[in-house]
Amino acid sequence: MGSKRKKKGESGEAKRYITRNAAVKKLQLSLRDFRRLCILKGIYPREPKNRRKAQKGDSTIKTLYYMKDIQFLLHEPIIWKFREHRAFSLKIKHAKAKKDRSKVQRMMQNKPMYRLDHIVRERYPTFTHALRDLDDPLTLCFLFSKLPQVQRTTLNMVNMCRRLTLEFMLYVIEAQALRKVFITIKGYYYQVEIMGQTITWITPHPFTPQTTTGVDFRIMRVFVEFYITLLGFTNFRLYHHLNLHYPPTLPHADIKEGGEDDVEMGDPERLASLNFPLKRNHVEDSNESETIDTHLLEEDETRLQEAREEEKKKKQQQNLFKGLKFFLNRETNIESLTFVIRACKGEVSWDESTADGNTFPVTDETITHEIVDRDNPKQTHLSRYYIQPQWVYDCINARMLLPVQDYFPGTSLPPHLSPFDLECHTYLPPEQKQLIARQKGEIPEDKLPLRQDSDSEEENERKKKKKLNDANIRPLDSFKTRTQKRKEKKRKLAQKEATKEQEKESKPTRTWEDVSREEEAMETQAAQNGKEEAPPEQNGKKAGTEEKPKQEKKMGVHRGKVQMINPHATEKQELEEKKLAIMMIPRKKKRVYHMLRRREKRKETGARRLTQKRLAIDHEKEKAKKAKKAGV
Amino acid sequence: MVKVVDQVTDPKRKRFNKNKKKAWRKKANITEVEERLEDQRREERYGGPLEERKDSEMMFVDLGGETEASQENQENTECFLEFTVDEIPETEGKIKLKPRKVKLKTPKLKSHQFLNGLPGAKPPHKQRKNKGTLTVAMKKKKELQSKDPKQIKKRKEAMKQMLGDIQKTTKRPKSVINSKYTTDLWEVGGDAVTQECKKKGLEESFIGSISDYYRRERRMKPVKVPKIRHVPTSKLDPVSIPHAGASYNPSQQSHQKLLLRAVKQEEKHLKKVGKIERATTKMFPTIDKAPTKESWLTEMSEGLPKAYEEEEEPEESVEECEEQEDEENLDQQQNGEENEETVAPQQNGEQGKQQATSSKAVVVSNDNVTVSSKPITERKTKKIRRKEKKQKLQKLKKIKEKEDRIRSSNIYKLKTYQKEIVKEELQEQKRSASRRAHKEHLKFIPRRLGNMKFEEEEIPVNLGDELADSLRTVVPAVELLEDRFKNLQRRNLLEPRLKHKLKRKYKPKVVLKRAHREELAKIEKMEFSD
Repeated sequence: MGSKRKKKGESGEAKRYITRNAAVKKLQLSLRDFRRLCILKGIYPREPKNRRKAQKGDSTIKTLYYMKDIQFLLHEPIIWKFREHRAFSLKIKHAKAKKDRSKVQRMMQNKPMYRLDHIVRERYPTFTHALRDLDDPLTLCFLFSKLPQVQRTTLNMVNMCRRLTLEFMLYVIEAQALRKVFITIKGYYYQVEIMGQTITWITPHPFTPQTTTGVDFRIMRVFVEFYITLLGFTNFRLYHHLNLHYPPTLPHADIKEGGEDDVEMGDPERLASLNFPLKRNHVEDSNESETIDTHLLEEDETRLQEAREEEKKKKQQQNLFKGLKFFLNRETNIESLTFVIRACKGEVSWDESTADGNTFPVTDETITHEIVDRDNPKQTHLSRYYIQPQWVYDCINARMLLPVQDYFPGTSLPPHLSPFDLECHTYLPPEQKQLIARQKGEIPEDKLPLRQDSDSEEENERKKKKKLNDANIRPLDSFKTRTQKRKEKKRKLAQKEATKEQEKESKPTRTWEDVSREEEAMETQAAQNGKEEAPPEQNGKKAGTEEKPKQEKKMGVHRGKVQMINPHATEKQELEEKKLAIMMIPRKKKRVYHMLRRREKRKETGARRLTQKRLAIDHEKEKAKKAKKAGV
Repeated sequence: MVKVVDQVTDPKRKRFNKNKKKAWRKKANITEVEERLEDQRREERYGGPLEERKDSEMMFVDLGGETEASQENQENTECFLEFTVDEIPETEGKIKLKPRKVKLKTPKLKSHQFLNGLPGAKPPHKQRKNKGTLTVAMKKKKELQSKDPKQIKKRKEAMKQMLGDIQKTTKRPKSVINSKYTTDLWEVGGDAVTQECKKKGLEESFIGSISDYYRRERRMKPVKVPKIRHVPTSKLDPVSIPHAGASYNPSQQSHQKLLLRAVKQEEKHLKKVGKIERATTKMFPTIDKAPTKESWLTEMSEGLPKAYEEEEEPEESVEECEEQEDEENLDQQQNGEENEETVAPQQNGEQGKQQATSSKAVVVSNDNVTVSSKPITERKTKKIRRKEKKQKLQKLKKIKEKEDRIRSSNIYKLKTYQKEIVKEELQEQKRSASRRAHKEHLKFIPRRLGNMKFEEEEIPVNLGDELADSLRTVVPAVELLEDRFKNLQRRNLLEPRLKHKLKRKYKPKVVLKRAHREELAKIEKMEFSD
């Protein structure tokens, strides 16, 4: 009894794959319907390990699918709907040809329709799965919502995409979930955090015509069809999570209008303006102050501390624009700015003639910022800042209010840095250093840095009744050559400012309550423990160079005998220690050490070169300015 | 040609022959007779001519009061419902009615039009009752029933369902896109069975098993899902994080970095294109530089005496050639003699000392001397064979001894062997690690899914002078939709392929509308007149 002889193509790789044509035949669908089904079900072609084996000896490149996937597709009830639709379309065609209008009408009323609920449920077994996969749907829907409305079919789709994306943005506003924004030459990148999942999407720049040529719209439409369903259900769940009405309604909207349809849609134009809070069921909220899972981090003290810090910063970001009133001029991207500002609890309005949904006029004296994207706008109000839109985005990324001076209209803007870029660079341009310092709280927030760019800016400053004496105190010192004395000076200054701040608080002109309060808290903390006790979070890798002065500072603060320590001596000692350590490295590892060291050196030299370059450029600029002044 | 008619005369009566009976029958005017007869028949249908009838037949005394027969008759006559149900009382009570707004129409049957005015004539078949028509008896019964609470409830439900159906048909979304989202898809126990169970007030602990049972019985068990189902086709992020230099207002450093990257990509591309160019088009000269017959001739005759020199020295060259040939022949002969002598010792060397005696086969022909290379061998003597055997054995012994020696000394080489093993293992580890890394790397790159290859798009970058100075003036560097489409291909969700092109069986016919044509003609005329 010998075992049955094995035949070629009956097991292994050959049985694992099926060509597309074979699959189409097996499913008894047209190729179009098959492609559609595959996209809806999330089944994609695969590349085999050995093409010749998978294709039973044929080595031409064919599109292959997993056999098991296709077998799985066989059970899909939507296939029947496809077949039904095919029969329907044949019948309709027949009736139309016969000019049997009544029959066409009757049939159109009972047009077979498929739903994708069960597929969404099957593809995303839990809500978290759906959230995790929301990047692509959001991007595509945002894109489609900006498409020109040409055909009737696309019009439907475009409208629905617009509705769903607006709903999602409204949710983000209500949940204060926005974390990062980045304006690129591609479009606007937004990153939100919903239920612990980060979701990133892109929206196109406004008013940019889309003349796509290389896109197969038939396929894209199928994708969008599925994504619309997915987004609809996620929106529903997200709204209910926040006790919001779905579809979103404005409060008191249903009292005004009795009709059913109006209630359902709310007031579409006002809703679309993103500028009004939504109707919400008030349920007694349980105290959710502690959102960190403390029991997991209990053992690791530093990590817990870090998490707390992060949480605090998040709160700060969520309330970034609280109490601020923005007025948007007509040339700005109103939708994006409204979304972004409202997501950080700011108030927004614009001119009545620009768009629907404005809340206050230009003449409102309580407006704190007017966002302008022109070089020389008419600055009619003294009580507000006129700034360029980049300020808003930079503030959100920095999670703090940045000084306004750099963003006055007409000034050359500081670079719009990427919030996604977490690389540790050896060379940091002075602007970035300043930003990091500010984020750490080393520079008080409303103090002006020394940046005299143009004369017009100075004029602006005079207009704004700014205290420039604060600004002229000192230029920013570089990180490496920070010495003890400078440190001390700084600390003293900080304390002075703290007292000033407290005085300032009583003044009614500037009421940034939260900011000042936080600063106060920070100052007190600094007085107690030494200012920089909080763990450094961003450039932790460079801790080696920075920890030294910190420790010294700590000691200094505690005992008040700074002069006692001779920095040169300690430095020398450390150097010697380092030398010894290098000597002690075993021979095997020495090569690696040297390699690393060389790399480091290369980086350092690069950084040095860049700083020098920058210094030279700055120097030249200054010279030119002086010459200009002298000439004038 | 049209004739002009001067006089219009009356059309003359047609004449026919009266001399035959056939013509009488066919062509005589008998309408008057027919009319008379018709009248008679009509009278007969009404019950005979009036003159012949009795008075009692024609008249009767009305005494009032209906007979049973007439009552029966009334019950079956149709009536219109001039009222519709306005309100159904929730508790017992009369149903309120309200007048119908639109009067009901019953279309007259065409088959009855000839029976008009004929009393007692019955319709050929019973008319179907319209929706609004009821017999009086039915109406009475309905009214009675409407007071019954059970009936009220039933009716209410029916009404509700009817309304629901109407709503369903009218408000039903026409496609998936417009569907409404009113349920939580991911709710625990959101399916129909558990909902039903909950409605009926079942205990929570039972519901799970019940729904399982239900599914099993109805064959609603979920389909077995392949293991690969939730493994993504690519590990790339759906929305990749942009480079810092792609900012609309980038820092100088990051912008330079991105530029460098773009330049590198471009260089790579150019190199590829250049290689193809070099290997194909540049390999072959263009037509104007390609060699012609003449150029070929000149090239081939390079170094040869030119045409005008040929005439002077043809004889000399011939003589020279002859001399050369003679010399060559002489040389060959000498070589042949030398060969004889040289070949022999060579053979000797090859064959060994024993074959020194082997003779040479030398054939001398008229012109040349040839030497056969094949030696004529003789049989070995026994002595020689013994010697050879001995030598062979000795050789083998020596080899074996050497092997033994090496093997015994290998014991002292243990360390080196150990090292070798370790080295090999390390190498194996490295290889497996690199293999794993390659496998992982494959998850991040677009795979070959179809006939066409995926082509990486260019890195979008704005040059220094292209950068916008304010947010208002930013112009996107890429078509975002196209970028997304490429992204789908990069993540192996779609196979790259040529765009579907609309195929036409026939060329579309272009026709100018008449109005347009006329207008165009007018315009042309205007231009002409000018």
